[in-house]
Amino acid sequence: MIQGYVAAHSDRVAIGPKPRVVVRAEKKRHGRVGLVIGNGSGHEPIAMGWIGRGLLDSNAVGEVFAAPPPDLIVDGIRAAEFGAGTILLISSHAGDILNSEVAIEDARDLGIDVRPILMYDDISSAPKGQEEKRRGAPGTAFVYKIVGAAAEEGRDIEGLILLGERVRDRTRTLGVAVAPGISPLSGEPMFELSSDEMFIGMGVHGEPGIGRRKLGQAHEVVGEIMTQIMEDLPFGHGDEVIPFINGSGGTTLMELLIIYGEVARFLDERKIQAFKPLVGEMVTTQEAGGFSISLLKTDDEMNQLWTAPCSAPYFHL
Amino acid sequence: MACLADRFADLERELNELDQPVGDGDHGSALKRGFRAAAEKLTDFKTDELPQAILMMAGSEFVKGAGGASGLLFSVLFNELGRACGESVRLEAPAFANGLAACVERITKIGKAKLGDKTMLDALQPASLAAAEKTSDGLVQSISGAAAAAEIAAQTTIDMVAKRGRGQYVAEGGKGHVDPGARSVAYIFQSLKTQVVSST
Repeated sequence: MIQGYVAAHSDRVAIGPKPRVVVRAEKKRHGRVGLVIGNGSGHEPIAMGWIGRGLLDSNAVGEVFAAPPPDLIVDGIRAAEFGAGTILLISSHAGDILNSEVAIEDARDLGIDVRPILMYDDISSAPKGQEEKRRGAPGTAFVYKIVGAAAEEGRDIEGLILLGERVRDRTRTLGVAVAPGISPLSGEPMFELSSDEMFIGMGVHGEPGIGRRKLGQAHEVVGEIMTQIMEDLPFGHGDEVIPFINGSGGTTLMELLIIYGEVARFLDERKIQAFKPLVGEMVTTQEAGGFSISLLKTDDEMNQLWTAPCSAPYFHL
Repeated sequence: MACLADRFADLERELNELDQPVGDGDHGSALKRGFRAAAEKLTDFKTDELPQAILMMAGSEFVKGAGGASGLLFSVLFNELGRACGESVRLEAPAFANGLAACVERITKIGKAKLGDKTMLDALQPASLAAAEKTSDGLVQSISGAAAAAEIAAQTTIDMVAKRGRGQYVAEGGKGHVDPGARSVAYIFQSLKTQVVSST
């Protein structure tokens, strides 16, 4: 898969010094902070597809849904060093945290200045007040893009960490599954769901969610999800948000656009401004049917960085 | 290692199935990859290599091959057993027990798990205690004790509610399902016992 990706976009990406590290074809200017993530594959386009100017510098590619081991993450970190330190993004899942923490220790032993940003946004995985126990979900996209843009502009590492954590703390996500994906390893569906049911809070690896419900109309499903998200931060009247509707892989663009229509209406009714939404399949779970909604409570700085030019092969607004 | 590689190739499907209701269904595949990577690398080793070198190479190949949380956590077992062997030319019962105790300590620290969290620790810690008790009876007894304790302990994870790993996010924390990590720990000790018994 890595070979295919790099061949398809050879103007922008390349295989790094190690076979499972993918990097930009044209490296970032010296003196800028590098941005890297080591994560399991199987979620394409993220994260490999988001390597490029204005976004990631490198990606250490693990097995499907399995975090890469520490030595591979260190290789990824080294490929994102440009003399001003490196930020390692970590999506909050046990494997990513365990392997990244060891990688950071190992990299520091080698004299590399690497600092983490831990990302978590899924409201179904822990209650309000325990946000740091939540899983990383598609809303992590906001951190990637906004920190990526700011790093490209030349911001210093401390400022970037504060920015990234601020974006993370203002993001909330909730997803729903309507059909399981097939595990590429076992060939089996990742969970069982009858055709008239949906799972609220499915994890991005197809882990079972917490609430099975009867499937409803788009309007009802969106209403339920948006209400929970809104209450959680909370978001309210007068806020400006960036919405991200992520398709899990098996939901058509037509359906995602219908969903966004409902989201736009919901926000409008509550006098909440939507800025430059992202609608598409960015963080997939193979061919799982379903989607997630993420909202970022934004501001002028975040808006500018969100829309800053970038050349990653699979990021678009 | 070669026997563990074969055993876990056979167990892949079962362990994936155990992981499906409480995780993402890949635990068996991860361990199979890990053991296979370790076994393959070790075919280059001479049989008179020190146990420490063998075990630590097994650990470092295992983590690379397996990936994920299990890759990292299970590699600790081999690394700590290796460390405990020091310069010994054989794995002896005291090193086995010390290695297990160090493994329990390290996994507790980096995994931030406690007993009862429904993890591999729930099988590993009783195994470690059992091994320590039988140290003076020799390696075979020590490993047998560990294997028996791990087997019983793995079964007790069925009614636990997960506090770590993917299981913590599913309904009731996977209560009613055995923890795949604990089950794998029991299988590992069972394999070690079979190996050690058949070579004496």
